[in-house]
Amino acid sequence: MNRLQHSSDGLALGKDQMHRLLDALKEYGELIGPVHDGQWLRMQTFSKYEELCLKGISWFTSKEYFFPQRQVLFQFDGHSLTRQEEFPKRVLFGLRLCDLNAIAVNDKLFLEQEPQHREYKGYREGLTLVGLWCDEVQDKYCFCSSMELEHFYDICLYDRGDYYHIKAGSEKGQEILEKLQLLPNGPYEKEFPTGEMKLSTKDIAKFFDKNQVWQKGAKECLSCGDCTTLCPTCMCFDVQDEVEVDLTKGFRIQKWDSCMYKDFTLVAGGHVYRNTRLNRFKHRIYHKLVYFPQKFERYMCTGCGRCIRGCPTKIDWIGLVNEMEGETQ
Amino acid sequence: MSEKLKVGIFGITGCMGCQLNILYQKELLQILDAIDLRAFPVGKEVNLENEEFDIIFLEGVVVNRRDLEDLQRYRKMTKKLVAIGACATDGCVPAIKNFMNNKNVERSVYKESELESMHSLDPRPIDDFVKVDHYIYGCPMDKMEFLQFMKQTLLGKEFKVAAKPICYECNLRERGCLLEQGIECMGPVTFGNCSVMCPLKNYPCVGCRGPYPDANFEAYFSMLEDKGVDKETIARHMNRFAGVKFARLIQKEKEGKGEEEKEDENSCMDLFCHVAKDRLKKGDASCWGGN
Ligand code: SF4
Ligand code: SF4
Ligand code: SF4
Ligand code: SF4
Ligand code: SF4
Repeated sequence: MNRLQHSSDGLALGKDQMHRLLDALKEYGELIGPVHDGQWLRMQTFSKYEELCLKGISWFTSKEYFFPQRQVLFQFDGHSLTRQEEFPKRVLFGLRLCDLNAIAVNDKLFLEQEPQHREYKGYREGLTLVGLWCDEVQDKYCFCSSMELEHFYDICLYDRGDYYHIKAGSEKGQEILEKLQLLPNGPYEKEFPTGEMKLSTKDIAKFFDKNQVWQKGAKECLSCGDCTTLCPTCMCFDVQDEVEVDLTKGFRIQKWDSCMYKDFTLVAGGHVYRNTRLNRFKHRIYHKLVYFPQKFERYMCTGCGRCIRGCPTKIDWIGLVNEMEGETQ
Repeated sequence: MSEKLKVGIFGITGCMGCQLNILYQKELLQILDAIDLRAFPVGKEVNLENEEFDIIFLEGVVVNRRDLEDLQRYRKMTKKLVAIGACATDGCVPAIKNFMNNKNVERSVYKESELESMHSLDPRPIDDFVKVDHYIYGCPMDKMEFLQFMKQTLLGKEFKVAAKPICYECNLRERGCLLEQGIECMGPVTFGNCSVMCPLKNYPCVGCRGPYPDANFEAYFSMLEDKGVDKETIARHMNRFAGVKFARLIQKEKEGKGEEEKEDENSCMDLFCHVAKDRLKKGDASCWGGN
């Protein structure tokens, strides 16, 4: 993504004119956006603006669209190996800043260091990202304003009542908007919304010995892995070989995994590195706020809140961190 | 290619659903091509017994002495014994009797005059008596897992399933959690690798694949209590397919806790604990018996 210098200047598009934008976007691939099924909000294919639900944050993430649950790495048939050569083109529409930044996080790991992840690259290059700015937090679990997010999108929409203020964030976004010939709308900027949930510090490495507080979270934890499956930045996977019964064909497959399971760190010989729930619970948060920034110079968590919203026992790790910070003051 | 695997498929007390599920396997013909099926009394006429098998798949739960003798004979006949289905792996419905008074159960079926000579026993999963090499869970046995077993075994690999709860697959299928809707799902405490047909059909998981070994029962029970789910409902679900194994794991979890923690312990944890611990002990035939 060739990003542009951030500017607050944008164009105006009436909400009754959204079909024009969507028609232009269709050239860039299949439209995927937040659709409500009466119970759950999820990212799925749509064709008309009216089908979308632009209130609230999707329960599930869009990571399936660039980091599929089951990714075939190669197929073999006894004579030759084949790999996936074609990747879909898709427009992710109405992503919130947290989910856009989650893609930036995935890029750090899979694209911006060698070796690049071949299949991730394939999916990622087919993506066009259209963001929707949050005027307010979507629910009580959002804490994006604590996470130092950046402007990361091809296009971003700001709701201005009966029209959108539209900004381009990349050369591709600019190219799309130029085709629409919209009226300039001057500068417009909006702060990150802040809700009830705030992370008082991200420097949690200093709490390494505060196990009594961490234990409160671990005690409630079911090791169900909902948090990591729903997290847009969790990108851990397992690699397995699968075969046909007659053993003539098979494939190597990459599948989502989770550090919340004991078997995640099971190695040959039967040793498990993170045997206790406490270690696993701590590791997840440490990966987001300590290990990843050490290597990639940005936080891994983007504050979308899904790991708390979707946790069956609603373990509030933000509250735990704040409690530890409070104790050290 | 080396010789084909010598396979036998047998059953002790059970409904035959798991054995039938092998016949319903889409890849059945391919599987039959790849193995030497020496015995399958449910599925074929000529069956060789009393010889060496590489693998025996065994359905059913031990409910009487004859089952036990058969089980021990099958164990001696094979290099690998694979428990198929909830009866063999966890005891399933017959094992509910472990949590009831045997005399009362007998009285509900037999005449008073017959009770004198009655010695009914506590039904148990087969690994209470013999070593089991592999487990294929589910009621009935999960067809996909059976196929995974066949493929890995034919490839010469040791069959292994990473321990994850049902929630893992459920989330992959983007079901949206039933617990969030206040419905008592057993996903977080049930062994995964299932096709999650229950949550996908709007029905909670009732634990037919037995316990997830890393389940956190205390947290699970108190979460359900917070959500106002009736304890009896949960006890019934847990008891239905794998009561013995759930109860043992819950007792183990309790024992692992310090005295302090025991005090404020959730009463739900005692669901199964009205059953004396020694009754649930793994048995050889001698200590195996009712009250
Ligand atoms: S750790 Fe939680 S809040 Fe952070 S990105 Fe993942 S799901 Fe969202
Ligand atoms: S280690 Fe855990 S927290 Fe980190 S990306 Fe993997 S699953 Fe997510
Ligand atoms: S979703 Fe909650 S209970 Fe489940 S593993 Fe994550 S923190 Fe633990
Ligand atoms: S519906 Fe059941 S199996 Fe699915 S995530 Fe919720 S608790 Fe787990
Ligand atoms: S979802 Fe639960 S009850 Fe249903 S088949 Fe799977 S393990 Fe059994």
